[in-house]
Amino acid sequence: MKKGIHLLLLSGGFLLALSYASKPALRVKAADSQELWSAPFVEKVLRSGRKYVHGTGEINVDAAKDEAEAAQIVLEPEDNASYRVTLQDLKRDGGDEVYAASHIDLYQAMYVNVPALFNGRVRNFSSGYYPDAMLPYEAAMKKGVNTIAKGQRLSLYFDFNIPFNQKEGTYRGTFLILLGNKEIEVPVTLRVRNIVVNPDVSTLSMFSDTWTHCIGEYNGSQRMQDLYHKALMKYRVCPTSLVTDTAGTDEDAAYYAEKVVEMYHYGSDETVFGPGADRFTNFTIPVSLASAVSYSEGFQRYLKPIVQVSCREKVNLLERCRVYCIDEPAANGTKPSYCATILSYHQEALSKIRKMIEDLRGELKNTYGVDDAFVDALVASTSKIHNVVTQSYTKDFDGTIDTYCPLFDSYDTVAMRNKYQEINPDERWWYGCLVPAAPFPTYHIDDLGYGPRLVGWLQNLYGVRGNLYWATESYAAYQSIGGGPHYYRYLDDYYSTAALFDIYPGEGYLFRPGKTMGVDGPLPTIRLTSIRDGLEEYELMESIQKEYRKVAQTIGMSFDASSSFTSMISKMVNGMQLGGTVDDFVGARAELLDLSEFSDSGVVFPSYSDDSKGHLDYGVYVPSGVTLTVEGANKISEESTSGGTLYHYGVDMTSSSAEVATFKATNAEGKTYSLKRRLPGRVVVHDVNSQSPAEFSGADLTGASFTQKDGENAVQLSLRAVGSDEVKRFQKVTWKPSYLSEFNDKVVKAVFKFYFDGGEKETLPLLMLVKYKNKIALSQEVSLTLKKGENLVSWNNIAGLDWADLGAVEKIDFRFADVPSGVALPARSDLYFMGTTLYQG
Amino acid sequence: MKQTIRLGSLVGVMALLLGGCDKGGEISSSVNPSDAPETIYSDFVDWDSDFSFIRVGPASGAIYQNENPEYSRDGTGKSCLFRPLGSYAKKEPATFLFPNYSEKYQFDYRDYSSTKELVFDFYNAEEKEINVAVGLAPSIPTAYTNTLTKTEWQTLAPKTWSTIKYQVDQTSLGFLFDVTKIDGFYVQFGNSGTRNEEEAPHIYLDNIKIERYIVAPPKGEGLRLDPMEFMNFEDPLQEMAVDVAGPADAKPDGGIVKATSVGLEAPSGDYIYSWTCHPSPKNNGYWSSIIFSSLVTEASILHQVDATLAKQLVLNFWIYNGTNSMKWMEFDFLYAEQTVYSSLQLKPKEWMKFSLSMEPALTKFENFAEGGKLRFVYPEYTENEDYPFYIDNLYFSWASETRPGSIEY
Repeated sequence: MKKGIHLLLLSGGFLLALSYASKPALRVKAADSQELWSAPFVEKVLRSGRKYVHGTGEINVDAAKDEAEAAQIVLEPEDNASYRVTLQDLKRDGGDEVYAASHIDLYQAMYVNVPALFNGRVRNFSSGYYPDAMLPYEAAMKKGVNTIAKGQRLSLYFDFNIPFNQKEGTYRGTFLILLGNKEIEVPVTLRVRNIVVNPDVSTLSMFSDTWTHCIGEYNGSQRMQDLYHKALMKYRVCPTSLVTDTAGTDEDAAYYAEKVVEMYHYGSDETVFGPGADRFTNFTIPVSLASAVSYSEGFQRYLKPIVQVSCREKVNLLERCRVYCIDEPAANGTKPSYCATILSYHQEALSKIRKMIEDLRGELKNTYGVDDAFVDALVASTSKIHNVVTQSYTKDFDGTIDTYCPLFDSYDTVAMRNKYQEINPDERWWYGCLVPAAPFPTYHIDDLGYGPRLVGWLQNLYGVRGNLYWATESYAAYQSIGGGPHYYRYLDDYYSTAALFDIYPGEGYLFRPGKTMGVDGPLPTIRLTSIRDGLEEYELMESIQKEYRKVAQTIGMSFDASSSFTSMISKMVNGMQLGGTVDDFVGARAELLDLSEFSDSGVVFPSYSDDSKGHLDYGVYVPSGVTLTVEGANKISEESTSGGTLYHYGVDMTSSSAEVATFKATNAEGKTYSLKRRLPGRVVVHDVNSQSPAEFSGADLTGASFTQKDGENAVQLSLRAVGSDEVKRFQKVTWKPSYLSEFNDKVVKAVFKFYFDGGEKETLPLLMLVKYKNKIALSQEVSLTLKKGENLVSWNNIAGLDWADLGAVEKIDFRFADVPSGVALPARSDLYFMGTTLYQG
Repeated sequence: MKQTIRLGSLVGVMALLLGGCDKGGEISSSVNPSDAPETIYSDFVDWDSDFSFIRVGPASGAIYQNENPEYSRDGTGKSCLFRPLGSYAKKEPATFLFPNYSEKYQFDYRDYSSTKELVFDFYNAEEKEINVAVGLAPSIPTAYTNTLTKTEWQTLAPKTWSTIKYQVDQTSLGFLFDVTKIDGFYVQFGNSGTRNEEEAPHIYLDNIKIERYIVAPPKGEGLRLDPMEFMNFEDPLQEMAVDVAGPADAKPDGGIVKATSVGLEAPSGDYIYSWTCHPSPKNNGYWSSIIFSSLVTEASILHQVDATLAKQLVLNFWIYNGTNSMKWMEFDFLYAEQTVYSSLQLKPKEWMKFSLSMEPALTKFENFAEGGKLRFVYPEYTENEDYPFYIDNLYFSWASETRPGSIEY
């Protein structure tokens, strides 16, 4: 007989569970408890080990309307203990309104062992038990796993769903957590901003859920498939294929079309997602690649019923269709000529679809009562049926691919971002798979908690509408046994292995199966929740973009909010490389909410620049009738422009240690808006001078000379050839600058500037290894690939290192190239070092 | 709960096992469960230790823990509820796999040397009969591939408990597999004809038992082929290595027959393989086929010579089209659901010999010798007559001796 749980509804409150304590509980305040503390949701708190800054045990959530935002409470009892939680409604300051506790989804963390780090080495993480899956509180109670062993931690996640009509303001209350025999009062503050997350999802996504959920859920039915589709939509992403049990018959195609309708209705169900919701943004259809005829026939077979149901439902569902049928052609040995053939099939098929709709025009109008404009829109929307190919741009594939979907790191440089905009101006996609690894974004467990969120931010910043992820529920282990081939193998336990796919912790799944934990359908993970949060923030950014573009149009200028966003993320993002700290993220998120509210004042930031030498410049447009006051930045210039004034405010971070610059705008009605712009921290710049060549040494270095490159001082590095008979796989340069001691716990980030003057298509792998005083072996801190031109090599989160354990930096090694042993490396003199910028946070 | 051994009527041998006996007439196993005369594989009382290792395939339906005592046979009040579907599109049966080994739950029943039978108690809660098949899954190498013993349907009468048994024949089992390493067993239900779980039948299962002999019977000799043989059908056990597939409503018949029994003269020996296709009532988009187990490939010369040499081999076989008209048949070298195929034009009422070079298949599928299969495929048809085909003497020769692509009459 398992323990039961009792649910009680109290007037004015929502009690989730009743205490079973046999004697009266000792009531304490969270701030006085050593057994409970708070942390931002994006902090991955390991079950044991590793030290964390303990929050005061309060829950503070700051969110927009129609947004979900989670808070974390960590339980760390002195002895073995179970816990229970009582949630209560929150009351608004200065009003009678309440925020109902029933809007909170409560979860406890499920931990999985990550014995070998993949990204965590770059992040200076530890191996150990990471939180990942999120088990609903009720299920934890029923399963009897609401327990914590002595010496371990258990994180609780309070996921606040803010209704669209929740009145803005600050709500307060207290939650009670019974831990062992102590009842701990947790103060709760919820700030609801006067901004709304767009319920009509703007982004596109293909998150496949057709792998092996049937095994983990013990259910291979369409019903379970649908539960996964719907769960994805809850997290603002869409599945790819909706039905897999199909033989491509007319009946199957008709069934598929009805499934499209069903998912559309679910994604726009007000009772689930609120008014105006539209989460079913796209879907794929199966295609046959055997011939132009079979491709085209399959297209028509599937799209004809979708045209018909579009007319019946009076919704253009056709425009949501995408095709994904060629996977990583370069990596899989698929020739560009094959891609070109499939592209021609696709174009021919689209042409036939347009003709088919025209041929059906009369029938559609008569049967479904749609007008010519609706049919015209269907015809026009065929141009949106993109064939998305997971491939980075190379000249070899020029003209053979409809829509590129490159890996995240392909967007690292301005040149490549511009290239993708040029090739696919209407719709751009990207993806992460096994790679790239940190410092680029990943969906892996041993990586930044806020990394998946920043993917959403960067999607907005770089104009990437679509995101693809190959498997959200691959519940089989893709492993080699005894060094043989890799196969998908059944698991004995669906929860205890992190690296199901080879060596990558978390790869191939963003859910865990619910069945064994007593849940009908999938369990979310904190990674998927972070993806959702990032996509909500994408919508906030998109709203800001619209405001900025509107102002730009009104005053006859050309700008958007991109430079404002660049400023906002500058502590964490460098191109596509992520770093920073949890505090940096929390600060940036607050700035995003501020920025969103602030744009209502009409004051916008048309420009922002950082010269990488510590000089920041904020361009600010202030409309007439609005007054602006600024603290922490100096006015550089002022210029009257259409309907207002354009200011420039500057901050010299080489002489300032200010953390924020505060902008306050007051409109004609006297309403004041406030925005704190986070500054990157004090900056120390070390330019190259004539003494700098002497800082470089090593057996592979044949010369280091002071020179000019691209108009700046530089050290030109000359490296010897490595013979094929040598075991070496790289060319190494040791660097001991005079300011070596400045790499310490005061530095948030160091940026090294290299210039690589290689061939047009040539790239050069670079590893940066650091020798610390207390460590025998060198630690790899940076791994990336140099591309032709200027390269900023960012060593992030330096302050987060365990400096007491490591000791000071003794030397830094740069290792260029990475070839198999036995392969020769040519001599080279196309590398230039151009200086260091230290951000001191 | 596993690893429980019931005394039953085997009192005479229990003296050997009584060391761990407790009061209830049951003993907790402290011996290798594979040696016990009877093992309760599962009584479906606890989800984690009785259910969680069961493998439910795509489109197969679902399993649940039943807690209604009405559908429990052993008094525990619990059992396993199946809601079987099967692929709607392909009309395939619903398959549920039960592994014989679990590291986490610490059981290992893979040694079938002494296993007499598997016993299942089913309750069919429907108003109509339900087809069920139980058998072995000797090989479950990956989560996407497995080898099952031949499906033999049995019937579950409505509204009653039925005991279904699978008799293990060590001789035939040992012909193709290592009887000490049988990965699991399966339960299949006939296709439910729906994608909707709500419309799937309710079938309950309680108590899977593994019964054993006291003295292990002799094992089979295993699959042995002549040096250049692929399959000549002279040994009736070879039938086990051929799987027949097709639409559920027109599943073909296949089996080894004496050539003279169907009025033919065998191209070699006395026995041939008979494959009769049946018309489909409607187009399912699912063709008929016979597939030769990859174990035959692995036992053949293809697996014994290096890849370069293997490419010089030619596969030969004879086919007799028993219909009255020309027929087209597809022949596949099948590997991981991909094919290198040939189109065979079959004249009526004639034995025809085909010779196909192995080079294309071995070039496309580097590891064909391990896991590759041969398959004959005939398209679905709706004409109202059966199409009999006969196949004989699949063997290899060297390309230097044979002209690949040649056809003899």
